Amino acid sequence: MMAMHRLRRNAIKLEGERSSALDLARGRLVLISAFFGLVYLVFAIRAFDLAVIQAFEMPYESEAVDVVEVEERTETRELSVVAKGRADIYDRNGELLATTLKTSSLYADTHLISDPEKTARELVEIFPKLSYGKVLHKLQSGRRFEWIERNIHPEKIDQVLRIGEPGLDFKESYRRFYPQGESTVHLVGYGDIDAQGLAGIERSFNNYLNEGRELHLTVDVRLQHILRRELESSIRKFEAKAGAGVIMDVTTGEVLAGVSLPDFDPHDPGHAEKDEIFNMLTLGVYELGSVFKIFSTAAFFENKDVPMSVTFDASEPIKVGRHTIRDYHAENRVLSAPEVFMHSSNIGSALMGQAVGTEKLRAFYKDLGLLDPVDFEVREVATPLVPQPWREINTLTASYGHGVSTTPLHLVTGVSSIVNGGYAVKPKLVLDETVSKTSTDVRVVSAETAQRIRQLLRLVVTEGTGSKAEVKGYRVGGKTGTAEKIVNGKYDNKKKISSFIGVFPMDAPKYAVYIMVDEPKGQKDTWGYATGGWVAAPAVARVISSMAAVLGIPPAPEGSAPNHFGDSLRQFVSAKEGGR
Amino acid sequence: MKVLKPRTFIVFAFAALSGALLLYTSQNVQDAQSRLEGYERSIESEKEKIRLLRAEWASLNRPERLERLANEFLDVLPPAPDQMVDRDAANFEIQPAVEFEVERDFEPVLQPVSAGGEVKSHAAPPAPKTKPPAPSREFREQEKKESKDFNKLIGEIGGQP
Repeated sequence: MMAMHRLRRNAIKLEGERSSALDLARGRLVLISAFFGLVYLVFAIRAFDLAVIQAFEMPYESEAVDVVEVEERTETRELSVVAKGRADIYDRNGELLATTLKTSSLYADTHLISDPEKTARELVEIFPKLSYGKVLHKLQSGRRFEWIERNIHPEKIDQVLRIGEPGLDFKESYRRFYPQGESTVHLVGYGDIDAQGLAGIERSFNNYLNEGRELHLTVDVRLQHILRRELESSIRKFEAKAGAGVIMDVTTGEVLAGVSLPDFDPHDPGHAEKDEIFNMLTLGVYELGSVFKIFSTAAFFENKDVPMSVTFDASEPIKVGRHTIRDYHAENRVLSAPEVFMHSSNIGSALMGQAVGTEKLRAFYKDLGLLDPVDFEVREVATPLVPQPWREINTLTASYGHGVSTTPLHLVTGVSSIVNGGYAVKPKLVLDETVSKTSTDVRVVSAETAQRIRQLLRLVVTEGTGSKAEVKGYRVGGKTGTAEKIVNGKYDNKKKISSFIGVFPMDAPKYAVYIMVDEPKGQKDTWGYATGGWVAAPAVARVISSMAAVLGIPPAPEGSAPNHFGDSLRQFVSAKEGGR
Repeated sequence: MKVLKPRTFIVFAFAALSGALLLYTSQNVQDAQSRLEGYERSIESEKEKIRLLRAEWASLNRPERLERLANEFLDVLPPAPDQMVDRDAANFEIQPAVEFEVERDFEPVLQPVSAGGEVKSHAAPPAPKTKPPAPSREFREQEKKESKDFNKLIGEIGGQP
């Protein structure tokens, strides 16, 4: 009993100690389990979050092509990123010339296609250009990535989705789009399937555009259209092979329009013919003929201190070695300098060239940039063909534009450099507002010579071979050029290059308009003539009159002083030989 | 049984609360992020649409196309050189000023004087007496042949697979 009591008391005592230890342990257990419970709770919430909440927000991503054709995919993706950011090209007035648009291309993961025949049939219905056999072949190829059709129209995307075939999917890509189409293709250029430039500005400014920087060109799409329209109509009328034209701001060298026909659709350069892709403006080198007399005459007056009344004996052809230089519009008499120019006398110009001398004439041509590739923003430029070695006969022929072949752009630039008052200009295609509007300060001819050439150019239109270029009130001046083409090493008098360089207004030149037509054929209403005066001069007149309307250039009122610019030269023109 | 001391309880409660708050915030952030992505996507697609529309606008405004449309539908031609005068140089006759009396005590009227009496607001413009000319068949054929409308142009971009 006693022992029992003691035991109990001990137990109670023991219980007291133990209970506090137990309490402690239990408390810790609760703590730990609460901790684990909390961790589980966190896990559960996170799992719920991932599996339920985020599952609805995550867009479904097709992973079908992940492992397949990784290389192709990453490559096109990189290019696509570049193409996406490729900047737009505008004309000088902010009209869009080139932009990048998103297009979708259709591909198939053939593993996922359950019924290739049915799918192929439906696809051919949507894309009539595809052939059933080819599509079926692709769908049965077993490959996980197979292009079906590139750059499909947004409407067709819906139709393809309606097939409901999970194996058909789209890949977005970016393509260049040229709203002006053919019109500007030889300046703006075009790109490949990944929008990387292959020609023109697209090529020479490829990286610049890829960096997302916009370009403004000096081109005016309205003038471009006018020039192209008139050139095209001349080519059609005279059944010519090709043609080229330029409108240049003579004070800055800015190319306001540049056309080379035939041209092609920049969206589909793959199907363009060789002669369509060929850019006559910068790549075509031609003996441009009498338009070169502007240069030799300028060289003559620049180097010789002579009055306008100086005369040249053009009564007989010049014979140098086995060459004979004749006149096309033969006058067979002694001609004054203005007469040489307005009648486009080869003999007279050759004599001028002879008077200047080989070294000086050559140096002068070099100063005008006629002997070097033209420095232009379009990189596809040709090197002029220059006689090697340059003998005296070459000096004579070069004076009237034979024996030296240059691009049309060379010619317009050279003429601009003279008529603008004598400051050398370079052709420009990219509009740069930071460069001052005045041209470089490199003089190629004195102001006096420039003024004389202006008067002579005006005389050609009022009295000479270029009379069809006259637009009343606009004081057009210019020079015709009719050159025979060399076929198999010989001049072929059936195949001509007929051109006209027009400048207006002649008393204060602002614009040069050049039109060149390759192999025109004489027509009934031109009395069989296909010379520069008949083919190109009227086209230049039409361009100038349309241009004036677009640019809002008012004509000089009748009887006003500017309209009589160059009249003073008439005193050197013999009366009986007036008119054309 | 002292399982939890009040202080511990408070700590736990606080931890749980901040945990919940954190979850809530992170959910909000995710939500906002996905909304942001949505906005960005839609901005991108709007931008793409704008590009497309600008390209279409440029394509529809090709001088060649405008010229064709103007020739067909407008009875006007570009001004010929002899129809233009230099505004600064032209000697326009200046009409002599005519003196006329102004009635001084008039009631301010809140309607056009010329309307006289009731102003017919929102009156429909008079219907043109003649219908605008329908495009000639020739034109439509020409249009079909030459006019690459924008959709066709878009369709034409690019080559074959």
